[in-house]
Amino acid sequence: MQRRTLMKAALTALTMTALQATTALAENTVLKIGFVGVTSGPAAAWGISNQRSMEARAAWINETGGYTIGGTTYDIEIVSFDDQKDPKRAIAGMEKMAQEGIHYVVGPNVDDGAAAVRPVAESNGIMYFPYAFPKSLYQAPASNAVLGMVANYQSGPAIYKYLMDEKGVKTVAFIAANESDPLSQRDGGVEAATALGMEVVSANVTYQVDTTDFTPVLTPVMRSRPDLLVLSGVSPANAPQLIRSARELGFQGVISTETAQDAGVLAEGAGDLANGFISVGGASTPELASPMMNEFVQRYTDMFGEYNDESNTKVYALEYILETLKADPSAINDVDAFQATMDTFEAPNPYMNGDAKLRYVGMSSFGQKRQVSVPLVVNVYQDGEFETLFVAEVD
Amino acid sequence: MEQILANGVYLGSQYAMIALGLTLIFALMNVLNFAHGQMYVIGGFVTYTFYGHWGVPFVLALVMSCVTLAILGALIERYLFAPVIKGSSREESTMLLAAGIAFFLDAVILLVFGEKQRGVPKIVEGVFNWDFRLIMPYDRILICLLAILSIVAFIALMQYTKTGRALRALAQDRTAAQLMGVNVDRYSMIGFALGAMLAGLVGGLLVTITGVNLGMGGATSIKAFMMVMIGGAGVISGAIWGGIILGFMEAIGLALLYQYGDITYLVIFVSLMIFLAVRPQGLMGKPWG
Amino acid sequence: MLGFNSKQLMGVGIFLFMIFIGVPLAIGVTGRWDFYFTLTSVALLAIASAGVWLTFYIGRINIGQGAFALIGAYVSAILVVKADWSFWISLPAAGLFAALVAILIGLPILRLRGVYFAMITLVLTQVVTLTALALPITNGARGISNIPLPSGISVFGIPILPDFAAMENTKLAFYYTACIIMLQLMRRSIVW
Repeated sequence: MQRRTLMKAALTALTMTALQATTALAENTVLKIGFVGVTSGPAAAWGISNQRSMEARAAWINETGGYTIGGTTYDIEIVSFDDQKDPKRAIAGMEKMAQEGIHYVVGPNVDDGAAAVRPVAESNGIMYFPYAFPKSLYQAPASNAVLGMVANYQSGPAIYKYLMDEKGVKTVAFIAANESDPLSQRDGGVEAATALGMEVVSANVTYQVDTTDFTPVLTPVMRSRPDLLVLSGVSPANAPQLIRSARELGFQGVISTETAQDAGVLAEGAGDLANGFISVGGASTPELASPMMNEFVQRYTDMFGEYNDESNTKVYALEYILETLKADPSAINDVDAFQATMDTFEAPNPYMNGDAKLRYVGMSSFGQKRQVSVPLVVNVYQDGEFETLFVAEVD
Repeated sequence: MEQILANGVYLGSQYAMIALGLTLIFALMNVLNFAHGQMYVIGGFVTYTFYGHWGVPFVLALVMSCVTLAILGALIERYLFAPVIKGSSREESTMLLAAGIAFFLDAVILLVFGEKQRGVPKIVEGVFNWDFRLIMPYDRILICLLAILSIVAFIALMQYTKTGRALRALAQDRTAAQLMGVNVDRYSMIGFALGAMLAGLVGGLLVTITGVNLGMGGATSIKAFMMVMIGGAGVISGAIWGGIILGFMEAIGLALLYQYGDITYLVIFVSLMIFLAVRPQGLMGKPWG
Repeated sequence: MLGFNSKQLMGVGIFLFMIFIGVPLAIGVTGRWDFYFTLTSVALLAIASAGVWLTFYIGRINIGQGAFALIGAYVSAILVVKADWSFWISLPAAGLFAALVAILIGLPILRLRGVYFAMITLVLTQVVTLTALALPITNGARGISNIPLPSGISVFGIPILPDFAAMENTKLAFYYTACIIMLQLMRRSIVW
């Protein structure tokens, strides 16, 4: 009896493999694009929005026949790795990508991860697209990293200027988590605010990364009575708690940050108290979004059940990789060719209305073109959703 | 100044509740429940699911947290701790078991509740504002009162009911309690369940103020151990004192030491180490040999 | 030879063969370079665990081994990056420094036993982490990265240890280093 079932199972397995083999012959060659980032823990939203954007776009491409680069049509396969915001894991992830022969990797999401994987990427010929801001990653002699979003030292000045002009803000206080990313963002913010002529009334209060109750931490900051409170480098999980504690302590001024946030988490954690909270949004607004952008959002939501505003920015990384490869097919296995193409690359931006272009920027911040051009959208939270405050471009 | 004191009071009462559950378990079974923080997180998530997600009334959601944690605690004690205590010769085995359970619960929480930060709508709106000198949102005041109420109820339970007497007897001397006819197995289970329930109740209360995410377990466990150590392991009043002291140290430290850098917790921990080196049994603990 | 029977010697021999020749061969054949990282971590953790086992031997439970690992890591990193020492000297220096700290801390707390001792070691982990965050010499939250690879050692022009920076694949070198140190430990405990 047992042997019969075993035989049946073996026969089924054999036919399935044979079928697979024949169908595989009919499929396209696979182009693997990697992702190394944080998809678990308090900052999970940052990495998950990357992974899902890439997977939704890849599924869309494969469904409509594949992506043609230099005469060959490819199916896009996304290879993901969760680095849990740990630089050691990020290195392991990048090495795994190198092993699988992947030359283009999106991520990591944070400073120390992006710095840690740099030697691995450089020695294995990998271009990586981090979402971390330190300039040393993108200035010469570094060459393998391309910033996937607008940096805080680019958005900060824009936000502070807007608030000075429109809301008459004069004094600013900063609070940051005692961690590498937030501390650099705070220092960058202080520099930008001072350069614009604002008075910095408090800039040395920090909180432990695992803080859950922010009222004791915020008490000394509130005493300095700033017009603007900047939550430097705040993670989407902590933002609602900080806003809530600040408002409950009687703070009436503006609260802002230069990182991307999650409207759902803000609504759950702070509710109406978060109204008026300014953050950097995804690189799309209802006015800017092209029909292709809308379809992307629809497909993403169908695939995953919910959408994350950040994915408006994160969708660009994969598009830039594929479009640049299309412009220079030899770059599929040769990142030097990719880097050469970047300087002159230009293509239509499929996600924006009008004739916006995909191109690489970063000359004024880094001295070389190591950043993707995405619109800088500044949002304000209102009643469960983000509304556009203003849009700008980065050079 | 008043703000700092108020912060200390409400932080202290929250911490005292967490410490109570831990010290009860230690008193009964001489094991430090490493998984206490994780139980607190489970309590928070259960309340979130019932109150925030399904719209069940808040008090009912709290009750569900208590019930879930009590059942979980009883099961852990009966099937995991009891056999190990009976069968092993070294007392370290129970500590390792507790640590293992902590990791296990962490993974279970990730699977069941997901990795996102969760929060619930405020249960009471509005802020008490005394001239900007003392600012306390009403919901924090309510939670603080509920915490104090639970502590009082717990003490009453331990003093005046039969179960309480049995638990106290068990804590004082296990063998003597057995000789006196106390069903040691049953009351160990009840005691552990009660300790776990307290953790769950605090989790449920605090999710309305700070929200909950799965990373909070470890940090809460360490703070809970510290309170128990300050106050004296295994002594109820010690746990309460430990919680209050830690609450005040945190409130005062964060408000005054920030200009020297993020050293508040460093100062607290170092003082604790020195204190324990000098007086290992804590404030109220029984001096041991 | 050392009072062991031939069966035990054979077992040791096979073990040595496996980790020095067998594993690199297997990795080379399958191309799974990332296994070096895993196995080097295994060897290093074995070394740290030996320290915990030692404390266990004297009747104490040491949950705070991570604290000493952190101290050693920072000492070595600071010496290599800021004082320009050679890695091969900073390594034993790190060990000595951690031992010194352990002696200082142990003086007051070794009279405790059981769960009380364990709790203090747990607090120790937190204290060391927070100290590392607060001190300027450890670079606070940013940490120390871009640590140069170990340099070579040569005596009278004869290279004893090769320069890691000149190697193409440093993973194998680190793996061997970790294994050799681990074996040194085991040798000591066996001879005991």
